[in-house]
Amino acid sequence: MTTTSASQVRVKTLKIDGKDVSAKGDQTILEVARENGIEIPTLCHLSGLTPVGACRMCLVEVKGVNKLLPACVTRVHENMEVVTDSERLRKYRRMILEFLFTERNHVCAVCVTNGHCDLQAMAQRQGMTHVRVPYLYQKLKVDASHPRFVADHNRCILCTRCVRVCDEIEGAHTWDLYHRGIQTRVITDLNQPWGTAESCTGCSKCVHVCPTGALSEKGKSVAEMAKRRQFLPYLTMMREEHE
Amino acid sequence: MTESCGKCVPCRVGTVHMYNLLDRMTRGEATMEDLELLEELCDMVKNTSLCGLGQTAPNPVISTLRYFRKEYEAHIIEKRCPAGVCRMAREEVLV
Repeated sequence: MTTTSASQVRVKTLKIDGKDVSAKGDQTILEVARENGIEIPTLCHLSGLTPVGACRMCLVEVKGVNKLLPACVTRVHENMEVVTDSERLRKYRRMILEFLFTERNHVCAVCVTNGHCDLQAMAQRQGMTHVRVPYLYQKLKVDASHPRFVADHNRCILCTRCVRVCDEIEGAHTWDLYHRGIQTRVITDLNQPWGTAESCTGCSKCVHVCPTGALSEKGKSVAEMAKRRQFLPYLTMMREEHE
Repeated sequence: MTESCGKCVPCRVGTVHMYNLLDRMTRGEATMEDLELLEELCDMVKNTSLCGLGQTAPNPVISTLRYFRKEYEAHIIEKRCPAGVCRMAREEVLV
């Protein structure tokens, strides 16, 4: 098989962690890796939403490229050689988690999603046992103005899953980002209490895609807020069929 | 730090941690472990940030660590500022 004929049929062959895999031309490294049973850690990525490459957990090494590339937004190339797990990547991933834990007040013991939290699970999986950098102890508000949901900004990791699901799937675009740098927050409508946000349809999609306890349902106590994300692949599949 | 847009984690949080560590050094409160940690943070922020801002933000720290490491150590060990910029400097020189 020559390279030219392979690119014409748009099937690409590459190596991920030494394993020969084939992929469609427009697939990302993350999609191909997951299809082939290779796990790349992610936090901001959620299948069915536009990838943003913001959390930097999915960074991988590609032979011949001196930068680390985010697997969720990097498309595959012919003869690419990808390394998804190395001592260096593991170190960086642990540091990213340390940064997220120090940025705001993530206290698992009193959190509604304790045991159902993507951040907590990721820290366990990546072996992040302690934090070496000092905590920033930001004091942020808890917005409980919505009749059914609570937004606790102290537990938000700014993955923007809520922003994307509200815009792309629900079509309401209630959520957005406010300010910049360390002061960035997610806001509803024009930075007003969630309960007064007119564009919010109360569909609860944001609550269920939220990786942490930042968005939760009212009336849930510690560790009771399990997230249900089954609707997302179903909705995206049905829409693709409809198109 | 104030120019970070806040999209990616290393730049949003890492630059703040770097700033805080440097600030502690200028106040004479840092330890040698902090210097090692600062080096690690610089390397991590430089290599994992999404855009050019985060990828170049640690450069001044990295190059001063390379060429003026003795001044960092003077701040930490002797609580002295050889350049006479930090507030702690004069008092410590007189002692």
